[in-house]
Amino acid sequence: MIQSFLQYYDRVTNYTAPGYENSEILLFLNNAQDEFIRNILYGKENQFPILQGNQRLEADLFSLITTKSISNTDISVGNWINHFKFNTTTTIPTARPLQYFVDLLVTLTRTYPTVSSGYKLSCEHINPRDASKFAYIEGINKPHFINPVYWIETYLTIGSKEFNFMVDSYSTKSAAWLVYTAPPKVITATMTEFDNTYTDGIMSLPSHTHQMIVDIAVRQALQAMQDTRYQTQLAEQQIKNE
Amino acid sequence: MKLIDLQILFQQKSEDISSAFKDIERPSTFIIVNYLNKAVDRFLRERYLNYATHVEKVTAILRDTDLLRNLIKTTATLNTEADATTLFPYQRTTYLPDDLMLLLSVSCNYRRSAVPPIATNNLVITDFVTQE
Repeated sequence: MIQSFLQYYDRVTNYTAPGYENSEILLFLNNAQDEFIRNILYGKENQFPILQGNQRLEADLFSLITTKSISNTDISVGNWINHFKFNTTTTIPTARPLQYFVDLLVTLTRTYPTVSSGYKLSCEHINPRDASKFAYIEGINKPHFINPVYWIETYLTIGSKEFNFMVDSYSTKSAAWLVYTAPPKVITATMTEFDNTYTDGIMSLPSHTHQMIVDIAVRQALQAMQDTRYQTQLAEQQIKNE
Repeated sequence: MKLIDLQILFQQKSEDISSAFKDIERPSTFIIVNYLNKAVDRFLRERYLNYATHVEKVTAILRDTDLLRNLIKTTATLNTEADATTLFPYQRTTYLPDDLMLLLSVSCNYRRSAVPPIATNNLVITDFVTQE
């Protein structure tokens, strides 16, 4: 990665720009790796990640995407009927921590229309203040909605989140899965090639993404020089728009 | 069609109008039922009662007797004052049923023991149907 960075950097600057130390290059590469993931997940408009049908997300981040089954013992009952919640502190393994949330899947059965075999649905995000509008309140509200809804109500501690989800009054929840991306392993000088594992010292992202990461790193390095010749702001914007 | 079907259709229609009705302005079932009831009243009013004369209203209703068969009651009994039996029959006061929307016709059973003589020409015949 460092070698690729230097080759690309020298090519772009035509050997006229000052060089960087390895430690500095690693800093750019790690920043670029994080930005690469953020760009794929959230895009230029910071939209919610969409897993299904997003081929680039599946192709580039498959090694980091994790689908964790949430045990029913970890799911507690919330304030409303059909309202459930769980805490990432107890449900997410420390060996593969949560960095970015991607999706919450819930299996349910329905009484109207009748669906007796449980089927898995992606939850839709709502604002916590709108949660009561989806709650079953006898005499006031008996809501009907196909996709379960979720919201993150409390940030308990750094890196820990409380997920709340709710199914409508005609559904019964069976199971839940949290889909998220784990943070990539920190790039070091002795990093070895990606091998489909999530291990320290081995690249976390597949090989075809490495050149894109180097590309971002070089552009950030050029921007760090504050040299307007390279129009780095424009280049950055183009990368985000890709 | 059950209430839940109407509720689903109501939500779909409202979400088509504005996505805000999906979450931020999502109506509760209570509000949906309220609007559905208003809509039923408005439907009946505009389709059957939006005429100038009583005769036209009754004609419009009788034209859709099949559609309105669950709404047309033929056995509603007029309420009578508790002490009405102490009064002469022609003095009795009657009240319309509470759930009445439009009076279509009134009929009554009576017996006559004798035909009273008419001394002068003061007989007045009233056709109820022409009354507003």
